Amino acid sequence: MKQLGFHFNAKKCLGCFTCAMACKNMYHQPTAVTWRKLYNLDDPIYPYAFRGFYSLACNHCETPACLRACPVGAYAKRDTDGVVIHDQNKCIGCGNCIRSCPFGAPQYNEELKKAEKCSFCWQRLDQNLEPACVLSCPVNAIEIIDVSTNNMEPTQAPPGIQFPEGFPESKELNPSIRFTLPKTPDLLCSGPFSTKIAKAKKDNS
Amino acid sequence: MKPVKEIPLVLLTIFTQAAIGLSLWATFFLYSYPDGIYLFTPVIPGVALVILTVGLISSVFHLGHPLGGIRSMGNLKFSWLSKEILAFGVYGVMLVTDLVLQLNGVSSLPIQVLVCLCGSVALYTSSRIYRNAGYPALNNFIPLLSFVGTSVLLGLGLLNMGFLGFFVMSTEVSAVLGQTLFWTLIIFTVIHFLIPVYWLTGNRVMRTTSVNHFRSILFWTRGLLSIWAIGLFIFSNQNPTLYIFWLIFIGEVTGRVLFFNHMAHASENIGKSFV
Repeated sequence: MKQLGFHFNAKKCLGCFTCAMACKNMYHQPTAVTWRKLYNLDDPIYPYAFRGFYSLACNHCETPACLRACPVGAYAKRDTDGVVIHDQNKCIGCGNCIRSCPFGAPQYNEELKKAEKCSFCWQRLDQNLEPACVLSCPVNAIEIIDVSTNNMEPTQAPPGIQFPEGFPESKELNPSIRFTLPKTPDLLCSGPFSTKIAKAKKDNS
Repeated sequence: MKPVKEIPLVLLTIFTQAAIGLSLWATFFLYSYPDGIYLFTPVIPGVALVILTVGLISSVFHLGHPLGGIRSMGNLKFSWLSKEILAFGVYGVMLVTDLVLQLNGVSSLPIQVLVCLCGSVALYTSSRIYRNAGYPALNNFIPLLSFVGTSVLLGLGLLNMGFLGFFVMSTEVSAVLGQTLFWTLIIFTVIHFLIPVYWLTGNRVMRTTSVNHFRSILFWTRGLLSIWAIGLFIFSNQNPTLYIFWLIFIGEVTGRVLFFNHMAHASENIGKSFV
């Protein structure tokens, strides 16, 4: 069975928030509700002046916590592509999904008094269009993959990691997301820059 | 101090657990000391039913759309919340059955045992709602332990009150009940202080939860109220039934507010090391 998910390439991500803004622009959520968020990687994970980010929305897990928590069955997992969708007509705003999801995907809409979350732009998927976040990313840091086969070619990039540091390791939920970790930046005192710096110092002296 | 959230859930859990504790302890003492208790027997299921009803009505105000609560048993296969509603429904029906039988002069031990079993199942299902991956500090035995503690303490406290004369105990039974409440209070006071220490041994989210607790005035208030109640037992020459119940009740409410307001969620730590 197909299971669509996101592949997030932290090596490419600029932290420009275009993905988050595209999602907001598409669905016009209230100010306090953000379906896709950018998380700055903390120093213990990425201790460099260049910043590293994770862009995260709903992970459309294989065994979603939200679906299991909801008392009225407002969540459903599509058979065709494994996308987890939320039916707001059924939602009673109990907040159990919000408590249960370790990734913070469902959020409470104070205006509607209901929960809501990233929908994987399933209406766009059904028209063979990409989700807003994927389409908008200027560096193609977010792409859709089928995690049931994890169809990344070995020659293209290292295999995606499901649980990098700084991401909740909830194996029982099996989130449909893979990460390519941010690259360690070249240090100026080594690598290809070192000879240029040495030559510049020599020319100046 | 930030606004207190989830007050309806605080009231739901406190009142429903008090009702369950009352059912359990009343059945235990009535059948362990049949000659030592003088009781208008419908009082026990009647009071438990009233307390349960107050708790369940409170929970409706937690919903964004309260009228939708009618559909809350729509996911019995997976959702512990659906199972909780069913379990409390069954417990309520058993209480009504026991009350009706008692009012007709029939005291049925099998029915009362069923009441206790249904209440225990409802307590367990209620605790499972809060055991999830979203709160690492609660994704273990702690919700059940906390709920059992509330149930035990409030149930004993309610019995100790005597219900304005409807429930009269002999000196022997009163002493046993008092001693049981005293030692239970000590045990759960120690547990109250040990749980945040246990969290310090866990991952970052659990440690954050522990620090939240130690920094909270609610945590220390709950502990001090319990110590005060223990002190009343030790140093008071009178039988401090009413004072102790209210100290325990306020302590449990304080503890439950802490439960719903000072737990760190896993999503708050995304991007940070979880070690």
